[in-house]
Amino acid sequence: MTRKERTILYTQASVCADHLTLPLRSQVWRGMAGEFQGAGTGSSIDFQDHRAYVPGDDPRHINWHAYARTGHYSMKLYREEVRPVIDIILDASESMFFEPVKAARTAELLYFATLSAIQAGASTRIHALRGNSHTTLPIDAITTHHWLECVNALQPDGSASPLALDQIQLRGNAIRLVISDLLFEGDPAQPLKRLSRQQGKPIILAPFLQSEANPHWSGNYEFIDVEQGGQHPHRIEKSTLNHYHKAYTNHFTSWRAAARQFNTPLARVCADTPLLDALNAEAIQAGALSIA
Amino acid sequence: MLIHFLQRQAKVEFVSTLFLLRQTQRESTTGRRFERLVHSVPLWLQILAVLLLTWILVQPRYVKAKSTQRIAIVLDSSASMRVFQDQLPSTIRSEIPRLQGNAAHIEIWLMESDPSQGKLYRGTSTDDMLESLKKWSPTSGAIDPENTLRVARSLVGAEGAITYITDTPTESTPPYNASTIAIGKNTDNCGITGVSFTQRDGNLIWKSIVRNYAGTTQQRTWHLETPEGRSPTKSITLPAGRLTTLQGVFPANQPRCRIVLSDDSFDLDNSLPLVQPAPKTLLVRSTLSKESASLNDKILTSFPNLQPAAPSDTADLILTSTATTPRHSHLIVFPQDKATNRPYLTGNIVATRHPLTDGLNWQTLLVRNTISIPHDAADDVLLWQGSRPLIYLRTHPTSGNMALFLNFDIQQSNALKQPATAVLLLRFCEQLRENKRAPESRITEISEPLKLTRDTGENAAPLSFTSSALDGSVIESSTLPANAHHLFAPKTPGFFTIKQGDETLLTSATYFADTREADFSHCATDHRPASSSATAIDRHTRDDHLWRIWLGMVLAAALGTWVFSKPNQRA
Repeated sequence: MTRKERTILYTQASVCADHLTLPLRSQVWRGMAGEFQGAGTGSSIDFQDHRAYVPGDDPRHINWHAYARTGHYSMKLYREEVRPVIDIILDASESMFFEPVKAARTAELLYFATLSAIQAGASTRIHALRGNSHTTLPIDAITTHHWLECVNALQPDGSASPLALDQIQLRGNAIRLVISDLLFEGDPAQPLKRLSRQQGKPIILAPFLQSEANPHWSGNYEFIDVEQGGQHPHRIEKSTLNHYHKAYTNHFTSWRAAARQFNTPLARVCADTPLLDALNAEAIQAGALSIA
Repeated sequence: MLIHFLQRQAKVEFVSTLFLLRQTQRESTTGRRFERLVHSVPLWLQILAVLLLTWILVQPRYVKAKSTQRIAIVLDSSASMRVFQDQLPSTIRSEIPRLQGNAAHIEIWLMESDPSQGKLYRGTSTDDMLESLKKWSPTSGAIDPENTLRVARSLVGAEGAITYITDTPTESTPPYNASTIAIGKNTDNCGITGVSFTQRDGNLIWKSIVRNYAGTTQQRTWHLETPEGRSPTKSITLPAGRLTTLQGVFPANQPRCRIVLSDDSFDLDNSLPLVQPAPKTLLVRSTLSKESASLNDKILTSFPNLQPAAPSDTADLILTSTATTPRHSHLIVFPQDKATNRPYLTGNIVATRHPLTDGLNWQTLLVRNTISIPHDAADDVLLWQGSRPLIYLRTHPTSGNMALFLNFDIQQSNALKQPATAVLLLRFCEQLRENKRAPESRITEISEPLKLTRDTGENAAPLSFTSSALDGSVIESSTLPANAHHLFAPKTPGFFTIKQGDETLLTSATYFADTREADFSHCATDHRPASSSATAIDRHTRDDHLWRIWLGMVLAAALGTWVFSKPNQRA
């Protein structure tokens, strides 16, 4: 994927970010001042409650009308406005990039998530994971399209292990947006449990290829695992293909079940359709994104 | 190779969902084993192609419905086969399928290795053949089976099968592509090997030798049977390979008796029938002068079975110095020369080839040039010295009597000191005795060729052959033409008599005397199959004429495999 191509993908993602945004308003935030309602009282214009005046309170918030009626000082309390916290976690394994279409969709989702976070004024961190290796991508690496070089610099360990979330430091009370195809073995509950800690709000965007979901294999194949390498001869018959479809469906059914258990919006994003159509197809309904 | 070349090359494809494919394999392996064989049209076509190709390469052949395999089974005629005769039916029955090979039918010849014996069976039924085997009783000595195998090969043809069944493995491969089956085994045997007679104190003494052929010490009992009873049983113990002699007086006033040894596996040598031997005698009369009377005495005392003829008897042989024509009797002519000191004959001594002089050395003979009796052109000169016939033989043209001329004065020569002279005279006397038609009583061996002097004229009475038991009762009687060329003693021990008209020619007891057949130490089991004949297979079977169809199906299946393994167009 050339830088020019990444620039085009960035443009497409930014257009999409104008229409869709991350579901930041569904979360009650704490933290630094920002544009979103916090859990405590603050200095926004949104009235929250009254209470009796206590010496030391800011006299600008004394409810003079109430004083006129009752002769007692009472204070008007307003909701605080804080900045949301978003951790974007990119699964940078080979399976995300081995097909140009899927690689493009992965890049688009990364751009979209980053732009959405930036537009929301969120405190954003971007983590890239490849096996047990990980790196934190600076925001400007995204905007200047250098992120792919950083991702490629990660040394793959040749294992198709689940996302090594233990390797990265996730912030509390944050949206944890995971961009991953979820094509690895293991119990889906484990990574979701890790993502839900510290009041985290996991959101999963899973790009996929139609050729993965519904391959048209027939005959003899030398399959090469994109992550582990090695040739694996297979004779694909109709019955084999049926078994594969069943296994593929079961794999994502178990992911959806686990996502429901951990209240995690999971949206599969088809890589073979335009990004906006792909996101509209499932992400909105699943609650992974919201209309801007 | 065909499958390999028609196999589509596997497509190389990068996948991210290999672990899902592995899950499908794991599902299969947890189930029934047969699930691992994925249903696949190309796979079944390949299996079909391989099976058809295997069928073609195996080159199956079908048995022709009318094919007949000719089988010749040659049985060892030697007497030792009697011991293992019980094993023959099972051996032959198990061998027949192998010999039959691929043929639908069989034609069997059952023969003996003794070419003088006729075929035991010829037919198509194994059961009938085995039934005929029950009557077989081998009694012959060791016989080279080559002649019979040659006959068998000519009977069954080049594609036929020949099996020679014996009891002793042969070191050499049998000729005429015959297979060999040895069914013998080392068997303990003790048996009578021979008999002789002597006279002692006016009694006839028989002596019989018993031999232990086994490798271990054997104990046996024996007794003597006569028509009137039997002697007490006596026990003998024979160490391994040793001999012992039994002897006794021939029972007086009994024409025959039998020595019986206790039974063992081989029955032929366990009995020894005996008759009092009474050889033919030659009556001799001498007309020699008194000076030569010693010559008569020497001949009568030295040569066996000669008797001086009584004056009333007609002499068979006359020793004379004057007669020259053997009109009524045989003659031995010893010319006498009263002159002395005649010079010795000179010149080379040459013997002509004749049965009477065969192997005799005359080179030390010294003969004086005494009186000579002229010889005729019809005479057979036996010995020459220079141009003089020293010994010649004259046969009377009408009576057939013979005269042996020693054509020199034997008293003035060293001929009486020459062994050749004694042997010549003995041979002549034995020849005359054998040719004499007279009753004879002697011991014979089983199947021994018999030489009988009898009347062979056109009007001669036939020969009657009578087998008798110990008490003289007739067991079997048969008649033979008077001019029968080959006469043999019976095949089993016993007594027999041969008569011509009312004249008894031979009274005999016959016994088994082949020690080679009585020795079972070399018997063993063995099987040497003959090389199979490809032409026999071609003859009895036909190939699969559908092979072209099978080959076409192989190609079709291979092409089908190629077509069905074509990747899906949607892929």
